[in-house]
Amino acid sequence: MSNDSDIQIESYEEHPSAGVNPAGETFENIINGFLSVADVEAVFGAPIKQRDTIIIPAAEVTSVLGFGLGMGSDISGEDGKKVDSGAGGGGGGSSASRPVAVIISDSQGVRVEPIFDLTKIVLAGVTAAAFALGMMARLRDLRRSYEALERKLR
Amino acid sequence: MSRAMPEWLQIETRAGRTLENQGWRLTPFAQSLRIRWPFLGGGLIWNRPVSVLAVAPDGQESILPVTDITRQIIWTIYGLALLVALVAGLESLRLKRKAHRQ
Repeated sequence: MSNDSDIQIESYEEHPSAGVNPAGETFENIINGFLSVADVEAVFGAPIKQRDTIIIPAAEVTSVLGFGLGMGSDISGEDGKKVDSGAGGGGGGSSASRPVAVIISDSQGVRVEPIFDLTKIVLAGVTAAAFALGMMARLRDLRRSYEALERKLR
Repeated sequence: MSRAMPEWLQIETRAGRTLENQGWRLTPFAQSLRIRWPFLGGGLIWNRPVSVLAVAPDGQESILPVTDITRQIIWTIYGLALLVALVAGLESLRLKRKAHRQ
């Protein structure tokens, strides 16, 4: 058994991890990353120089973040003694980028060339067509039942 | 440039770094929309390029809009689908009323 004098207690300030809050740091990094999406640099990429031509890619950036925190304690007994307590939190997010255009600067001047994303257009077209066809099929069924009712009444 | 908006909503137009090439000066502009969730932490940021200010070697300025052709086509498709749904809905309503009268 060790003597009391042998026990060395490091104070919180002296400990190597003093002042470091990993959860807080991670949280701060996430928030900073989220806010950086609003910068102009997030939209306009680094210019690409090719001889006398400069190409600047431009993209649309969307970022969504959500988080929540909660805490609670279980107080029981007539004396109001705190028995148990806990806290927790969670969050999630997503970030997406889509190329929109390229800005080209050469000896002839400056021009903006839009980017045509065929995949996105086809996906939107298929979704919209399915929705429209569904609505039209519903209308056709309704029309048929109405015609059947009309025949019945005659 | 930021518009006067409620605290949870912010629309801001920012200028990027000016670049020089062949005597032309280019300044890109981006517009960001920030929405803060009312009862939760976090929010949404939508940032998009809007225009480029091009200054010619002779000093003539021109603003080149950055058109998002993909988004325009997609919203036109969704708009047409919504129009079809609206017409179908009105037609079904008309048929139902007609049937009810008979």
